[in-house]
Amino acid sequence: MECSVSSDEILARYVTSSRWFHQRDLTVKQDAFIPPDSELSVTRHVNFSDGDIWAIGRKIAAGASRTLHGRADVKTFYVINQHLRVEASPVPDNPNHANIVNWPSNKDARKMCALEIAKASRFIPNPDERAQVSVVNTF
Amino acid sequence: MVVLASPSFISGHASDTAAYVAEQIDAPYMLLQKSNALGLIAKGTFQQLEEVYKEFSTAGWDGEQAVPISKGALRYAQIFLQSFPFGIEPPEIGAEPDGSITLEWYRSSNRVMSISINHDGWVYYAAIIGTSRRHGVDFSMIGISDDLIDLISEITKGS
Repeated sequence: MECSVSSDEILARYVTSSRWFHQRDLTVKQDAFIPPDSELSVTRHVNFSDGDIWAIGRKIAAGASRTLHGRADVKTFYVINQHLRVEASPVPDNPNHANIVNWPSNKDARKMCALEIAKASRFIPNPDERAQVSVVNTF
Repeated sequence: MVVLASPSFISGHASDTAAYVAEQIDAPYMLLQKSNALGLIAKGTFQQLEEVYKEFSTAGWDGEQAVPISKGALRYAQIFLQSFPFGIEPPEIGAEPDGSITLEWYRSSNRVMSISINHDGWVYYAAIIGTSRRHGVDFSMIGISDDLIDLISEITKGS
């Protein structure tokens, strides 16, 4: 089936737990890429500024009273390379919302996909959180 | 790293004597097992498990559709960790949006292993070791398998 999102598009997965990335080398854990059921929410970068992407993440984190620690950016190519599909699925608050679908039914196979996606992703720390930490450290 | 293998537990002993002998054989292992569990407690592994349960036990904890971690998953993770033989490096504890607890051993993105324990006690694992990929299923009540011990050792060896 054809992918509705181009393979060179970048996808963002928001990181709302400090347990979802390795503190020592700032890489993302596979935990962040395991779907709750049959699909995993991501945000496409296309036509968004960096500020727009962070604004969506802040809203998602605030909705669950969580801290936005950062985001994991990954090229769609690495997702479809795992025989997964990325389907655009706009929602009122996020026109760039998409779902990663077609996950294998076996959990261990899902974990393998998530490990590969995490390996190909790049963790971008939330600049606001860094600023807050700097302010706290000043005092 | 030294990993002591578990003696094979004897069931259905033919006599009281056989049962006594089996107990005596197993006793030192059980003592080591207990001291290893105490080691994990000392290193904060069980404390981390409790913290993860508290942090991720509400629905939508990721700001989206995450499933809460259940008491069942917590209990199975405790049982599974208690079965670790002496010498295994303590894992980092985490959570997945499908409500599973994770145990991870990480050296780099090319040397990593993750285990998930779900609310039914199933254990799912996946590992990247250089160009090799491994994944599979186990059951937490049986305890950690030799296969998993070997994989963890492969990840953590020489470091």
